[in-house]
Amino acid sequence: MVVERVLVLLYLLACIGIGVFASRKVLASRDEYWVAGRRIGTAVNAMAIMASLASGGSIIGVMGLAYSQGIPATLALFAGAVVGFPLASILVARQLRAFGRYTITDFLAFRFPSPVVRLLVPVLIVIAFSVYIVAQLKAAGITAHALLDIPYDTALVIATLVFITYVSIGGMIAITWTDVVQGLIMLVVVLGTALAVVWRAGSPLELMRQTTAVAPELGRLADRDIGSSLGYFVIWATAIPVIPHIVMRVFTAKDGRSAQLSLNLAMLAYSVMILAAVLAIVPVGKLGFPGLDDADQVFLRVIQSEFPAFVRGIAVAAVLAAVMSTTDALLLACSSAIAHDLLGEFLRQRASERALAAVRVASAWAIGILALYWALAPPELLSRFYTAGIGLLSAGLFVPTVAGLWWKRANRVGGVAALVAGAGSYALALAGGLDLGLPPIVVALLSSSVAMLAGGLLGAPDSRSMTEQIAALHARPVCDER
Amino acid sequence: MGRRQVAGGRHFFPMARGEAFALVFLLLFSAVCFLPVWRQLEVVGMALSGWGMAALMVISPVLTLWVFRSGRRRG
Repeated sequence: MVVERVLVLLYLLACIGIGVFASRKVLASRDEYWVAGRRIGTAVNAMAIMASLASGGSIIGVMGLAYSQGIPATLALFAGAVVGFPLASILVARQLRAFGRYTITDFLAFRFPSPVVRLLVPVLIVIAFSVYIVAQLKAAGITAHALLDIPYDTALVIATLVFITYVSIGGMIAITWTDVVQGLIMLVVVLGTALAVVWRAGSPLELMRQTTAVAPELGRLADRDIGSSLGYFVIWATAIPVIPHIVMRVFTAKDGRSAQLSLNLAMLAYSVMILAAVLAIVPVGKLGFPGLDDADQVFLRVIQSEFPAFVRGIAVAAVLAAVMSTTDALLLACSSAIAHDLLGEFLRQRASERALAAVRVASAWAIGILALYWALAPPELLSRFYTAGIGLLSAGLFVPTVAGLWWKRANRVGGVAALVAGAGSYALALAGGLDLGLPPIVVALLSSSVAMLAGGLLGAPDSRSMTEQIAALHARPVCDER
Repeated sequence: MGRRQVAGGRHFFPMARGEAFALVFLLLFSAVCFLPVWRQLEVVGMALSGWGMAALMVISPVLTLWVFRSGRRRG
């Protein structure tokens, strides 16, 4: 246990060190703080995107889910995010990068100028991401308690203070570099473990054949409810192109082409990691540890049985890295929704750059401390709430964003209607007030599309100047062709 | 020579033909993976829908990267 704790302590100190180092550069500049000066290269951005998406659920949760629900059902859930990234790179990445602001709210408020958009979008982001942050904090506390034998509350407070510190003072630059380190740790641990167990078995197919002969339920999907899998798939596929902590990564890219490439490279790394976990580590866990009461323990059991203390320490750091790399990106996006989207315009007219920097730091601390307070006594169904939160964002933002970029008839009336109809019908369907026999996200996306169509066809068209500005976002600049 | 584009017509902004192809292919592939018929058939102990999802997870980023690369080569 001592080796594990020392390695985790070193890792946490390294995160703070990166934050302090970055703070010397970023605190005085909005561009540096929110989007890292828009000069992050393709490989670094890809690793940071991968780490931001790969939460604690992607290491501990995916293997627990495959162990208990079978591999096909698990892959159906995670494939949604993987499809979402190509959608994002084709439908929004180059155009949003050419737009060149800071947040998804900036784009929607420009495309559909209305107080409803300017207020509702950041409010939806704060609601959805607050729940998501609390869920991640809870995962960090449980993980540290289980693996390091530290009390849940103590682990929660330490982890939260560490990442609020480096996010609040280091902004996007600190997040990018800590995410790169965290992503590398995750990849090395998961791929290294998978290679080691496959090496002993001979081949992944042989491993799968041996395991499913003993535990055939691992490979079956026949008895599972495909409707809920489809719902999760659609939520993540449509969330990725509009979810704020991923969209902010698009704005950090050095150009549109780099944004497109980094999204797809990130997904390739994420897919390989998930497939290695599910197709190699889970079968070994199922063979070696059948009948686990807590399926989420399967990865840790495999690690404990196969590797010495030093490697176990790195594995603990990898799990914490997965949790923290997602949470820090969520915290910055949530903080930007308050300090930039909601208060930014008002403050820029009245406050100095120094005061603005103080507001940025304060908003990160306020959200982090509130999330910590909530996570100390979290509600029981938190994991369901946070998926619902992501669903709410994709229900409200996907259609207005994509139609606003691609449909020439999209207008202010249609955009506002699509936003309200998507978010409203999703909330209604979740609450049971709109049961059409379809997953709530499908109902919401259909409602949002109908509202956009009706508004676009019946409402007054946008000005010619707006159409020309959107057309300019589609033009491929010379610097993108290098 | 510029990028080959799907005509957007009067109503849509034009999209590169390769990107439009990739988009349609990925949506169709995803839909096919969810067809009930693949849930009953098994290969190496796993339902074909599971293998389909695994393939989708690799094909989607690789296909899109290839499309971007070939689009760039055409300039």
